[in-house]
Amino acid sequence: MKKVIIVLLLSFYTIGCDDSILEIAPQDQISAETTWNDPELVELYVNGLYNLLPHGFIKWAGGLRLSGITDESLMFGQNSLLNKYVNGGLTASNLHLYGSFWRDAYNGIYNCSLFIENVNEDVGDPDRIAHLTAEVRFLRAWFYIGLISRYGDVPLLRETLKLEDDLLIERSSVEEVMAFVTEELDAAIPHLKENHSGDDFGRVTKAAAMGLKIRALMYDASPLFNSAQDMSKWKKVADACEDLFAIRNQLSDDYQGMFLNPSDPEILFFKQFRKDAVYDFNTSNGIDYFRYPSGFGGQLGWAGEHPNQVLVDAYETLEGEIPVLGYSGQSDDLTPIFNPAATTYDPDNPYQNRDPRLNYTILYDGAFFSGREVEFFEGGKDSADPPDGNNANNASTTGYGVRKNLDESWTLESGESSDQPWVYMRLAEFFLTYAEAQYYLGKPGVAEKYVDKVRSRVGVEMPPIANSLTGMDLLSKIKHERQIELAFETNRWYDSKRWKDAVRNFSQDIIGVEITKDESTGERSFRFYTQHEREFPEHQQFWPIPFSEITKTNLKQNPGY
Amino acid sequence: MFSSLYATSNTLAQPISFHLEQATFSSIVEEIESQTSYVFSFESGWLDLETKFDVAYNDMKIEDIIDDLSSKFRFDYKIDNTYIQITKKNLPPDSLQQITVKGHIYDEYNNPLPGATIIDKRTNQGVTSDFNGFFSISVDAGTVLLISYIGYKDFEIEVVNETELEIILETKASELNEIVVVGYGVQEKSSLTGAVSQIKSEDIIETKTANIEGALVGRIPGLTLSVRSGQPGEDDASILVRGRGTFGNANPLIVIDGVANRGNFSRLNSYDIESISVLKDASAAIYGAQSANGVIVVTTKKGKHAANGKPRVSVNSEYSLTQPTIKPNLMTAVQVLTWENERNVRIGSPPEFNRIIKGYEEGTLDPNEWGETDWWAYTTNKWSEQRRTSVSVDGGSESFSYYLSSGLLNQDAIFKNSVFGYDQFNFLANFDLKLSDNLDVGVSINGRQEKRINPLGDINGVIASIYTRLPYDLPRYSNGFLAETSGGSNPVALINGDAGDQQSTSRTYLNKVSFKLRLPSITDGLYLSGFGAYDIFKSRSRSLSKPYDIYSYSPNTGEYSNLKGQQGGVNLSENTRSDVLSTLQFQLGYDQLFGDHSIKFFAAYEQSKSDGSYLFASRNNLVSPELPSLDLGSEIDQRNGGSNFQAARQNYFGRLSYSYKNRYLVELTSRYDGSQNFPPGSRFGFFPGASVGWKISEEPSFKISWISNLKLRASVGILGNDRIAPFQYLQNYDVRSFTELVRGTGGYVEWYNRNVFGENKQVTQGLYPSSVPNPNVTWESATKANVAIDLSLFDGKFDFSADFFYDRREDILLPRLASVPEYAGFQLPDENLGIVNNKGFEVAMAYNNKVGDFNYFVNGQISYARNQIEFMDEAKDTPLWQRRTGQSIDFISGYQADGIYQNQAEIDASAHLPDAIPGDIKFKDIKEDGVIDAKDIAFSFLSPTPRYIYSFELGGSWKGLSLSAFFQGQLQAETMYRPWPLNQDRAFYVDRWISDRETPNATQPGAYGAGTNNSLGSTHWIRDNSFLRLKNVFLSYDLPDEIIKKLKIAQLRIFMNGSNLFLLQNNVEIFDPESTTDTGWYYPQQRVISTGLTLTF
Repeated sequence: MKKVIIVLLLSFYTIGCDDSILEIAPQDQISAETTWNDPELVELYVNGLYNLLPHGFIKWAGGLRLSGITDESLMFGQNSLLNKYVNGGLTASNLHLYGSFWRDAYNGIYNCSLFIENVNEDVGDPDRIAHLTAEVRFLRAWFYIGLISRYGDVPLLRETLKLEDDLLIERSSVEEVMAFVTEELDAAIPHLKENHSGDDFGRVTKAAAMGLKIRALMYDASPLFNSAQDMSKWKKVADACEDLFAIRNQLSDDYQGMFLNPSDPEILFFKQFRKDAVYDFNTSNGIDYFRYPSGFGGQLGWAGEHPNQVLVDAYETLEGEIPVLGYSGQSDDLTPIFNPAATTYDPDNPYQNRDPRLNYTILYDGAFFSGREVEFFEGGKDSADPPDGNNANNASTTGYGVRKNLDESWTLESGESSDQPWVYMRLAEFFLTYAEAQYYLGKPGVAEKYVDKVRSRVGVEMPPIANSLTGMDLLSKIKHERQIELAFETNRWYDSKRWKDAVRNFSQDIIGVEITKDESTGERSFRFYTQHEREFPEHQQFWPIPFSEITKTNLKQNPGY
Repeated sequence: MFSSLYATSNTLAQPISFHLEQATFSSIVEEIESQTSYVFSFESGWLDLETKFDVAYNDMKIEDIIDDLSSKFRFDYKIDNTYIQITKKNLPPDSLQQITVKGHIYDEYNNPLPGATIIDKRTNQGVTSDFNGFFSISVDAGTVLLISYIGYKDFEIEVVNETELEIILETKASELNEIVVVGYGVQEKSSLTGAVSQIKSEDIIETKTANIEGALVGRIPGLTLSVRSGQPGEDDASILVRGRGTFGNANPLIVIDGVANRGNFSRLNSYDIESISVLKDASAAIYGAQSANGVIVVTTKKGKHAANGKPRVSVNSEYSLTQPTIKPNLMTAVQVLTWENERNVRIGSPPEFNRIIKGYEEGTLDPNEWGETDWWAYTTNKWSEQRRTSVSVDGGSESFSYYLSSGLLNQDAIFKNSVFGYDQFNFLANFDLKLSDNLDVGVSINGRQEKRINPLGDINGVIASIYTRLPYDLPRYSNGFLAETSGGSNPVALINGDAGDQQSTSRTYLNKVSFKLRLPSITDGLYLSGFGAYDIFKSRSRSLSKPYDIYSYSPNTGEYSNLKGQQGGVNLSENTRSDVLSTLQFQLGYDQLFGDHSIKFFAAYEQSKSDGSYLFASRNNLVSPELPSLDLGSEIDQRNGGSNFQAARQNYFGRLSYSYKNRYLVELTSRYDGSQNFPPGSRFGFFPGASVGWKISEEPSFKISWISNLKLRASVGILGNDRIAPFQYLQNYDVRSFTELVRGTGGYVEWYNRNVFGENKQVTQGLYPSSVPNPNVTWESATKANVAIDLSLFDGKFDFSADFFYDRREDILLPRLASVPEYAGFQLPDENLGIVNNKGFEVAMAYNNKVGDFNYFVNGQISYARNQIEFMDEAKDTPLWQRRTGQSIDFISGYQADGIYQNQAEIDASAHLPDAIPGDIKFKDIKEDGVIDAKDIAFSFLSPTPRYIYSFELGGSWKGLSLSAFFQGQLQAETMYRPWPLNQDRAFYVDRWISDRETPNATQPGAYGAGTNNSLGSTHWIRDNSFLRLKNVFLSYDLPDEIIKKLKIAQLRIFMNGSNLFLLQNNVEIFDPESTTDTGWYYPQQRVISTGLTLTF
């Protein structure tokens, strides 16, 4: 008995004295001290920041759906997520798909600032740390430009806020934010490399930072933000372009292929993917699956984005004329208004003799794609009434599909995803930006020259725009070139707004085409109809700041909401 | 003297009742003669006419009364018709010999019973047992000893010789003397000072739901259990004790056999449960930092030391049929098509389906293309089966007792032709050993295996896929081929397992070794006790998806093509999880009686530690679906991952109970609790509790004979809640974990932590900051007060108790989401911000009585709890109608509906959403600024958590037959039910708006699609969740004793039971009123009809 008591008391004593039992460290987290003193972890932190950058193949602010709220296309199944953006119904509380941009961008900014405040140059290779810091400055600038272009003036946080700080701050002007962004990029550019190879391929380069700086300056100079019409702002744009052209000046010879090839010299910044990571939108993408017409991809193409007839009409004939200027008549049977100057346009073969970029960008009936002709005609394989009845629900509702970015070698084998890169920036954009700047700076000759550089690219080879165009004619040529050259790369949405053209452009209805094919002759007839009515009130050129944010802060809501 | 009294008209042979205090023999005789026609005859002189007794006879036969009197007054008697002759007792020759009887008294669990009274019935003299249950008494040989102890049945034994007795007292079933399990101990119900309610095994097993929680619904005042799903193996209820007192985690602490945090009790074998107690007030304070949401203490059965020394075997077996309480009544094909047409017209598009609708009406459609499918009926069974068998053996001797049991439960899912369902195997071994006079040791192993087989994907997704499938789609073509539907997939492949399945097996072992060492060598009443518990939780699950035959049909060619090839390969993912919880506790205690003073005290140390790990792996393109093994999959796309975690607690606590004459009761508890969730230096908190009771009916001056118990009690305490994410005081960085992919079900997952860099497309991880550190984080603290009255009348025939409580919860942990702007960009930690008060009452009453052989009872209870936010973080410019301070925690937010827009003129004349059209729900412009926007969203402080819950039960038994009916309901609860805008309940279609001419009085909006104004949250969709249901009916028959004896068994009972039988009131109509989903897309609550038997031998 005594033994038992002794054993019990002893164990009581030993266990009772175990005060260290509560000393537990997290098992799945790394302490701040370890993180910032380990160069590998510092690098991983920066890698994580890249993931916060939206890309055009799926995520929130991505291009895929941004084109669906422009005059470029109609997003399939858009109703619940996008209808408020295209029918004028947007309020501060129904932002749905894009509603989280505010939060996500500021979260990215916080994470970037946290790096800048914590990174220690003594850890690892100082050049590498400087490079990583420059990358982070680039990424932070990217988030701010995203905010400005959506909301106008926004709160500018140069450093992280602390929980105990006064959290109520005012919106800073676009000018002020852009000044910060260009400062940051100027600070970053010297530390960035011109090219990356090996494991660094895909990280931010000098050219990418220069391109981003041009975008910032361009927004600042554009009519939407430059109400004082300060033309010196365009001078800065032009100068920045010239800096870029000093290190990158070669357009690609392969308009279609460069979207599959991130090594193409025209590409300035991109995000890579892998085929093996199914549905993981940070490391793979489903763009082929989403965009293949319904009869392709093992009859599982989603045809998720339906281009607008109006965009198709905007592609010039080979002689350089826009063939269709508009429509008249009943909404279910529209009559095209032909441009008499477009003499080579054949309404019965509307896709013939057109700017080659039409074929590179848009899938139309009869286009040769991935081994066969696309069949959008009634009863065709990619129509809503396919011969075998399969996948009819996913068919295009306008009679067109998006071709840009697609990998024609893709097939739906065991659910494999796609690995083409998302191209954030390429040189042609900046040639056209330069042309726009030169237009405003009163140098139409230079402007025309840079537009023509884009038009005369190998494989496109469109005739030069007429000499001695002046004033609005030249400006609309430049805008038109941007619309065609950069279609489905998200630029349309940003550009229309900064030009203050959004109301005009985005109030246009989506027009579709119904094609009937005569079985015996193979001849097609075309009926045009309004597929989707659109309305874009002026105030929607800026999105509302989310309602919840307005109630928490002193921020003034954008007008109209 | 002869007494000869004559009575006239009184009845013979009928049972009689009378109560007399301090009655002499003569007065008793007088009473009997006045009530009956019996006549006494006796000779005085030898008869004791001086001694006075209190007598109480209820419905007793005259023979039994006389028999009892004969032992009290020591006479012989003879009854001849109505004539009772009393003669001097012929005592055995040695009758007056003095003998000494020694004995040892203990209960069925071998616990000695100190303070039991042993009375010589002949002399009315007695002794009490000592601390270890021993006694010694000198009596006349041949007398009868009456042994009694509060809470136990009286025991009588005739003693003839000097002897040593081993006496086991059985617990008494009476309400008042019930032993109630409280925190770290037991108490008699009559001496409780806190708000503790208990349910015993016989009530738990009466309801035949597979999940024990189902049996508690409505049975415990103040306990809100909402069963939100009927899915086998996943039908856990949400449990709230006295409503919701916090924004944060409001789950009560669960304690199983004295050990906290061993997981839920819902999957224990219900036949193994001895009792479940709910500690609702400061009585829970002894659980310190985890106690603020109340504590549920579950106790399993222990071996009973059988009087005859033989093991007792008990077999329970039942078979049940289950079905949803409410079935969906969705739109028909023509209704859906008409809806789509009308929706198009409303947004200015042409109607698409006129031709098809006409085709339906004329019967001219290709039946292989356009069907009329009731998908619910096609995919689910009318009835599903549930089987349960439990066998237990218990018994033991003085030094060793055991309870062994094992149970099997099997539940089928509602899906037709499926193998889906739930299997559970439980075993329990409770051993109690007496190693020496002063050392008891207990060993307990409680294990179970739960096996679940479910369809691929989330179950609500599977139900949704049945709900959303359109009625014009076909499940199968006329040739039997599985048909492709307009949504692509077909739920039939999910529910019959062709598309794959998910299987998981979890094993739980709750192991505990305990001891109690009495230390009489130091002082009587001192003891040291403790336990070590080592609980192991393991689970393993796998998800297998595989291609299956599904065909598309071409109406043009009449051909079918198999789409199997497009579904990808056979893919497998597996995960395992393993947790270990070790708990150690030591108590030093002291229990002693000093005359009228009873003192109980203990001080204890407890620590617990848990470790866990998680691992997963997946591969695609397995060689065969028959061989679901990772090794047989492709290495190309393989994935794996895992994580570890640890937690620990350290606690010091104690309790002092004192009572004087069992009349004045005081109890003090304190706890000093340490948890790793908080930063070093502020990890420990102090949680005191105090309660008092006054048993007025025990006062000598209390003379109201029909009040058998009257007690007032009150308690107050400070309790804590520390259930937060750990390490919020540190700034850390993590590789954000990713969830695995369930392919083939649309259930994909985004991985945030990887990026592709390099020419070789290397995947790299990303590192992210955790939330901003909060160095001041601490527990929530609740101040709880309770006052109550307990009343028992007419010898316990009527019981009543009422509790009133007030809780104030401070330092409620919540992130400052409402006021910290999103532009700050950081993830917020929890901060001790909120203050909520919660008040309410519980009233319970019960009445039981009998008329002849018919026993009957009625009981009922009602509970009310209402919380109110005193402080919370609110956004600066929150409009008045969106402010939550001053309101209750739960709320439903939405626009205020104000009818339906009939035409454009009405829209133009009012503030409206930018894209409003006729047929839309009209919203009120609360801000009165001429526009409708988020500022006009109003908060209704309504809640799916009811404010009132109530129940009542009626029952009776006659001979072996017994029947009870249990009704349960709630009041003041609301939910927003927003239907999916296609294929919804027919009611929405029938009452819809079409145009101002056709339907000026429509109650539902016009046909609409997802993301439109009608699908916005608004008061239009709110329905009242008040209900009353016949929760349980139980009918049983016990075979009569004669037959039982012939069969040589102890008990044979057959029973029938129905749970959730029907709703007497359901204002929600379309769903079960306990549903909380907008759409009804969840596994429905089940009605259970059972039959079974209980056999004991």
